[in-house]
Amino acid sequence: MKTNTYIKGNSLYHKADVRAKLLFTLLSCILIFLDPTISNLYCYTAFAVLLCVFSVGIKETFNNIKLLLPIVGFMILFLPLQSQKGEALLAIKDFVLVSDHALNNLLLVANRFIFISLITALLLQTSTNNDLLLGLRFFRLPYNAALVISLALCFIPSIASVFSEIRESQSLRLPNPEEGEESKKGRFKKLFPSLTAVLVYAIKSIPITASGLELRGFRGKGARTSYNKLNWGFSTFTQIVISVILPLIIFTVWRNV
Amino acid sequence: MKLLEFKDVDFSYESYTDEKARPVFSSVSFHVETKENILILGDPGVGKSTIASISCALTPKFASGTLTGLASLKGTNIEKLEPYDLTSTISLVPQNAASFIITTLVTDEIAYPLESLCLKREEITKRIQYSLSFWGLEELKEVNTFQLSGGETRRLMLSVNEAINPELTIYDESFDDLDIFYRGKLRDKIAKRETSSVVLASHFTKWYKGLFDRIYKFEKGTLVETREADLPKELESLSPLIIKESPNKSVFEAKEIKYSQKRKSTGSVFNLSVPSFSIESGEIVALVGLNGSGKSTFSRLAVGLEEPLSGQFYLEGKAINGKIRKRNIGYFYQNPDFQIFLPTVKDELSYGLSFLKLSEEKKESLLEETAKLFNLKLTDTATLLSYGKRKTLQAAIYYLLNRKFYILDEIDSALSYTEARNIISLLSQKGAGILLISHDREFATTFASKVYKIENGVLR
Repeated sequence: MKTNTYIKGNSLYHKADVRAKLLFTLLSCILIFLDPTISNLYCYTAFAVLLCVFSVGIKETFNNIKLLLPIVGFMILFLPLQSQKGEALLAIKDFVLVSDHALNNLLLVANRFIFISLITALLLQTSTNNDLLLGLRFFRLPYNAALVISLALCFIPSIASVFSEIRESQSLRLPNPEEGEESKKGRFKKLFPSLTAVLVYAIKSIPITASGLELRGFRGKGARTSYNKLNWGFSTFTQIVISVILPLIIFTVWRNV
Repeated sequence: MKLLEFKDVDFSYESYTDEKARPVFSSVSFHVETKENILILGDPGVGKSTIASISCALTPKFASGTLTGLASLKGTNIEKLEPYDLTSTISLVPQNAASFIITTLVTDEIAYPLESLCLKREEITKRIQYSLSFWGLEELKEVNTFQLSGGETRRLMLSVNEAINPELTIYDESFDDLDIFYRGKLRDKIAKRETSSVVLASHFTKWYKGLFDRIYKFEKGTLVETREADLPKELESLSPLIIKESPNKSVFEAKEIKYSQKRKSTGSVFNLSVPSFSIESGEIVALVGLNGSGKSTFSRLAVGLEEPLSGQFYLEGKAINGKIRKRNIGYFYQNPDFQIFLPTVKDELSYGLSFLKLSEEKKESLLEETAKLFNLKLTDTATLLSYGKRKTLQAAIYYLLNRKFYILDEIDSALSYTEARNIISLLSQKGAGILLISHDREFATTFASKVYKIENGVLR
């Protein structure tokens, strides 16, 4: 299995305890669903972008956003289907392409989607797989569940990397310059085998990962020792308290502005 | 004492098509005793990795199939054992090492089985330090496992094995991808006979001389015991290549190339500099260097998957960008799994042909002709082929592309010398220039007219 999310760094977010980061991620993802104000959601998204820039840099932040753009593109494509309600902003004769209601919905969904994706990506890019596992175990999650979650959290972004690898490999198989060119239609058509290949890769990875785990002694139930340990002290306690209070303060302040 | 024993074992994988399941091998018998070394030789696809997988109780558990006969570990039928109970008894250094990695950091990967064995933290630390030092990975201990080179990934798997220190280790093509220094180190380790070893290999190399108590060879679907002296001198008996003189001679050159890459997980920087490199059509050139020295990085630059910080690539004297390089130079990856994605062999071979203005009949005849040349079956599922067969498929894909130049990264790993030679020969007959990357210097210099080397970040 390929896992390529962790980026070494010395940012404040890198140094923060993984337990505090897990709590902060979870709470902030819940809170943005409790706040339906568009202007506040812009602030949340901007906050996530800034946090990303200061933690992993502009290039990685841009890469994170780039991965989300196709999905946001799909959301825009489906905009006319939601445009039956509200005042028409753009229409072709009687067919409403964009209504204020649909646009509002799109901005709500897109902002929440971008915020959740960025804040989760940031958690994965600033914590190692093992730290995540230990963090989840701290919250009394059974070892198996914690392992599955930490593997899944790293596995999902790796699917995007496999997709890039497949596209890279396909780009090496284009015809010699004098033999022909790939049409735009052909390039679009090639997306489908690429997506199928990603699906095949994901399915194939399951038994291979299971083999790897059992070969290395993973038995589901049963005792294990732990090489890595999370320390507990005043600093960790403070970070955890801040990770709970900070989203609540932001939420309360923005709701009352 | 017999640690591992196969008695008349037949095995066939479950068929997912209407066709009847084909047996992988039949009547396979061999045994390994305490502190013995065994070599099992065979062409790709004969079932060497299946033997490894059965021995570790991973097959048929994770890859359904029918097993008859008796495979036993320390006298117990392996079918009644679970892989997780065997960690300290038997260990596998897998051929496709990258797929078996389960954690994100080098140190965590080594620690994982030791945690399963319930070792104390102090003991785990001691074993990790020793294995990292033994396999030269101390500087990479905080590296993301995904960012290791092919050879480094292999050494990580050997480190995991070193830390477990099992009674029996199965080395599935484990000499492949290692540079000369680490090949010697692995040989010396096996030669000490502190534990038992089974080495699975596609060809007999100089590293194996005098190392084994018994040698078995796959012949007509079964294992036959043989002696070292009776093995054919495969490398020496390879017939010379017939290189076609191309009427339009092309030259591919690199001048004053500088490249730098940051490892995300450690922040360390890797530099590569190429003052001058050239290859002509019809020429075979070798590139050698230690693991992680930058051979694959140079390949990625040459085919346009990466762009240099400075310097230029030239084709027939004209400066060319990455887009042009991608379509003139074929790159045969070290790991075929990074290049094979489509469902069947036919789909994989058809992909490149789909861009060409050829009639359906012509395409069909080209597909059949290529499948025959490379001994492939068009209806086979590409991802279910053996590792070696997947490498052959990779070669067939590039054969059909008719590139002016090819980079063959570790073509001899997992293939017999004869098969690797045949692939080089088929590409040479089309007049292509070939850059051969290999850790097997004897093999590379058998064909190459000149040798480049990467040392201290400089290709000369």
